[in-house]
Amino acid sequence: MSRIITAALIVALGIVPSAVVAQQQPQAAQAKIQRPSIVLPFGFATVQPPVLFQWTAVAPGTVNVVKTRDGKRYTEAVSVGAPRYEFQVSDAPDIESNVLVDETITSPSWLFLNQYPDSAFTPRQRSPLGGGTYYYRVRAVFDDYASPYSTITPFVLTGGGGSTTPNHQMSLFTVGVAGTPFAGGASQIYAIAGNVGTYSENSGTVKIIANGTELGTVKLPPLAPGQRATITVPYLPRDAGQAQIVAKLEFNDENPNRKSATITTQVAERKNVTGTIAGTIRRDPDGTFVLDDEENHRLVTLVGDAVSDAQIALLRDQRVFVSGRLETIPTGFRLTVASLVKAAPTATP
Amino acid sequence: MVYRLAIGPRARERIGARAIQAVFFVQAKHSLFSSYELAMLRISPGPYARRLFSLGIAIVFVVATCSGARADGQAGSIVGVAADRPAPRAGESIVVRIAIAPPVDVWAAKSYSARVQLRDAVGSVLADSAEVVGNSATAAGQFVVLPVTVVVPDATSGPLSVRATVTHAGAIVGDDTSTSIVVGAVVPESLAPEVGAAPGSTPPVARPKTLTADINATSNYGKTPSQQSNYTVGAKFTGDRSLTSTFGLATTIGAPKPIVGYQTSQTLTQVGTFSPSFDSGVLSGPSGTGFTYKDTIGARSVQLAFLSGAHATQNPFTIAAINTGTDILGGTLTLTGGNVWVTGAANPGSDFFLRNGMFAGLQFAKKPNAANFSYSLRYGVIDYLDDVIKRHRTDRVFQASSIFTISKVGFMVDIVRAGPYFPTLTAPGITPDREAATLTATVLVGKVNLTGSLITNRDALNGSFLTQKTHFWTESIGADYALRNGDSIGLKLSNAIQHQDGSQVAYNGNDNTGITYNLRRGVYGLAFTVASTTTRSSTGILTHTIQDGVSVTRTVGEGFSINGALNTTNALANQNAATSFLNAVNGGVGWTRGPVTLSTSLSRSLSRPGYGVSDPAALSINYGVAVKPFPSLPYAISITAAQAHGASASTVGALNLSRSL
Repeated sequence: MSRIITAALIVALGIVPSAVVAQQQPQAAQAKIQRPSIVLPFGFATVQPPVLFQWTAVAPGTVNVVKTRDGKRYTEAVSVGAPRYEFQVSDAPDIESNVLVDETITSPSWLFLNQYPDSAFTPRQRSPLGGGTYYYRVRAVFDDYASPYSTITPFVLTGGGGSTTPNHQMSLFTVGVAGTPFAGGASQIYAIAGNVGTYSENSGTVKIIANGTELGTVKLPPLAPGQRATITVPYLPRDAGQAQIVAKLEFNDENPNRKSATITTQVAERKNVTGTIAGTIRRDPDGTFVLDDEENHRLVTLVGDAVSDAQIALLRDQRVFVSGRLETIPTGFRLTVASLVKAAPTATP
Repeated sequence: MVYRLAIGPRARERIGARAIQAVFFVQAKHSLFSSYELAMLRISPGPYARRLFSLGIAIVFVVATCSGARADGQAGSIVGVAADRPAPRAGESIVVRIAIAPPVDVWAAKSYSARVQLRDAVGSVLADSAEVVGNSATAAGQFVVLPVTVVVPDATSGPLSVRATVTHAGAIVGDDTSTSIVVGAVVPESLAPEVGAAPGSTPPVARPKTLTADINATSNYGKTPSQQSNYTVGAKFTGDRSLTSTFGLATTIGAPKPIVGYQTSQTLTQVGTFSPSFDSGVLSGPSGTGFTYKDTIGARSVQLAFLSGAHATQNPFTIAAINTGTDILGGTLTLTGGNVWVTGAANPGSDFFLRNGMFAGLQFAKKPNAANFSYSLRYGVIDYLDDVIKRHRTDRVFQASSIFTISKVGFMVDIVRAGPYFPTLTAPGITPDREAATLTATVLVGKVNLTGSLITNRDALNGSFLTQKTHFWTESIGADYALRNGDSIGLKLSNAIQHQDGSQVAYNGNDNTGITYNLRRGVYGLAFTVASTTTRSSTGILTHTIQDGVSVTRTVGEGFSINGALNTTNALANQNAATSFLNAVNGGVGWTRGPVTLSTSLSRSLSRPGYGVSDPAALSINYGVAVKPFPSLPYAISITAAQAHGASASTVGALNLSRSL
């Protein structure tokens, strides 16, 4: 396997560069233009529409344009008038991969109302922004030249997006594993979904899938705008190895984004815990045999293996020593019984 | 298993036979840290201080990694921990059972005890149980189970870590943090057979679906109509293998992201459009088309990725990368290396432009130990041809973060520094020319959850092209209190300062105060918000903005709700152009009956400047119909429309059809 990987990488790293580098394009003119600095909001500020964005103005004047002639670089001073500002908002930290709002303004500030429809929204955004974290940046644009973008700055729109345009939107925020998953043991898969629109919603389900197997579907409770709900399903992987966990939010709205989330986790090897434990056998109303201590605290649930249920039933309400394999289940421990002997009331195993 | 990278020809030309990647990875086979330092020295021919910096980072890695081994927690005599209810409500009691087995000797009755703590993600201790003493003697080969009761505190939700400790003869002999609960979570009404819902059920038998499919088609109409449809098909095979695929057709460039994935218990292969996430410093987040492969063997893994992206732009790129990871000293050590190539003309105005280059990343992430102490160290370096100056540049990114607990206060610290010429095409989450630090602390005082944070960053680092130097500083304090009747109140105070010097001196600051109160009384739900922001700047502008909002929802009957809201924003300033007053009102009705959901709403907003003529009020009307003919059938249709009136009028809408198989 390692040879295959090495060969594949050599092909990827060794052959492609020569082909790609040969396609270098002529260099365009470069200009040194001061970039705008963000004034507000900045630093994950929590804001509610209407949001006033402000940045420092870029003054008109002269810019030095770097040009190339006969392979030599030289600078040329060019007069430029007042700039326009290109302002972008995205839900991706790099902004470029998913621009949701793109607006050109002539002043160094902009009041964002989050009302839809609006020409500021790109085709990727077909409704007002829902609540959550977004990123924005701005640059100054002259006729043929543009400044670098300002630093990318995050901000948090309040629950429901604070939109004044009503809309239905639900989002899946995260999926994760609570606890350390191991083969034969119980852990929890959880997901957080929320209403980022402006209506109260009373439908929507979240489906959890592990390695292609559906573990459960959870109906979300009624959610007011801005409310979130955490759902969980037990996870009992049978085998160690890599596990791909997928959460899917099923809800019809105008925004197809944030409807699924995936993580890959490692399931540890099975824990082989065997031994002997003392206690009193009881039987639950559902017919399950359990082992309780002297104060009637539940210790483990008993499952027959080498010992049948009938043999366990014979020692009901008696103090016993039970040997077997211990496993965790969503509600406690399960002991697969290998042997069973009656004990004196105060004896230790 | 040893992986060896091929050598990029330009790198070989630049530094001779001892190419960077060869030094880096070949020596990693024998002595990881010495080769790491050597590689750094080779590609850092700068001043002596920079070499010392590289050496210092290498020493930090070695010391921190070795110290991690000593700090690694041991479960000791604990062989299992299980909560009786993995998804309890806040305020409820749960019983955590701790299975204990003495490693060698005999433990007398009442000589050992156990206790449980509940902690949040940052490590703050939210609940602490009483000490439960073991009343039976036990010995090696035997075990006892101690049930410990702990109360889940109010005002908590989401996953909480359960820390169980066992004490014998006055010393802690067992410490386990492998179990968690999820507070306030909604659980499924019925579980798939393999999760073993019934406590006494026999070992579960998996009965997975062998084939699943979803179809979702949306047509948007209006001034800029568009269509998009997505198809998802999955298959499950024996041996824990599965296939997932997503296809799409869309009239918006870049919207469909087809991908096919095949997974076994050890491997994951994906072909299509994806975003590799190997190392957040050097390769994480670029989206492109290609393939990726991951192989996991025990505690070791290797990943490959080859992708090309930005096809419809001026600068398409190609990336080839490899990543290896191994569990070592209580954490995971990963190495990432790769090459990147960009075509097309450089952006006008760019200070630097990545034409082609190679990158390498080294990362060690220490897993949380029993005391909830964890940390990660990350170092990335890229050597590339800068097409603005037509020369090679080398730049770096360094990140250190840690989560730890002091007393019952959880802390999170994060420091990241990226050089002024660090290109971020392969890691868009990094901001070049920035040194940033974040400190967050949380603590539960009674029923009040307090959060404080400091965020600061500065740019124009040494060697920067910037003629201005900017320094940000933000501090905030938040408090949330959940009342027993279900109401909640929150207060947030923050102060932010920005200072800029150099060719242009500027400074500004703002103070924010925000209060929210949510309550529910019978069929009514109300939310109040009050926020105030005062901004001062060196340009002489002083702005005071006050926002007030109230929203009311009322449930009239089953499936029938109405809502309304009023928001005002009043901006006062010492300059005319900065003043404004905005009021917005909206109302809506939603009705669900059987398979049909109807909704309509109306909103009106008017923004008036302090001086001058205001634009017409904006009025929008929305209509929506969603139909799911029969709950048992996997079909759903929704139709929505929005009309806008005001300075410009428009109508947009969408038709959505979904089908599950």
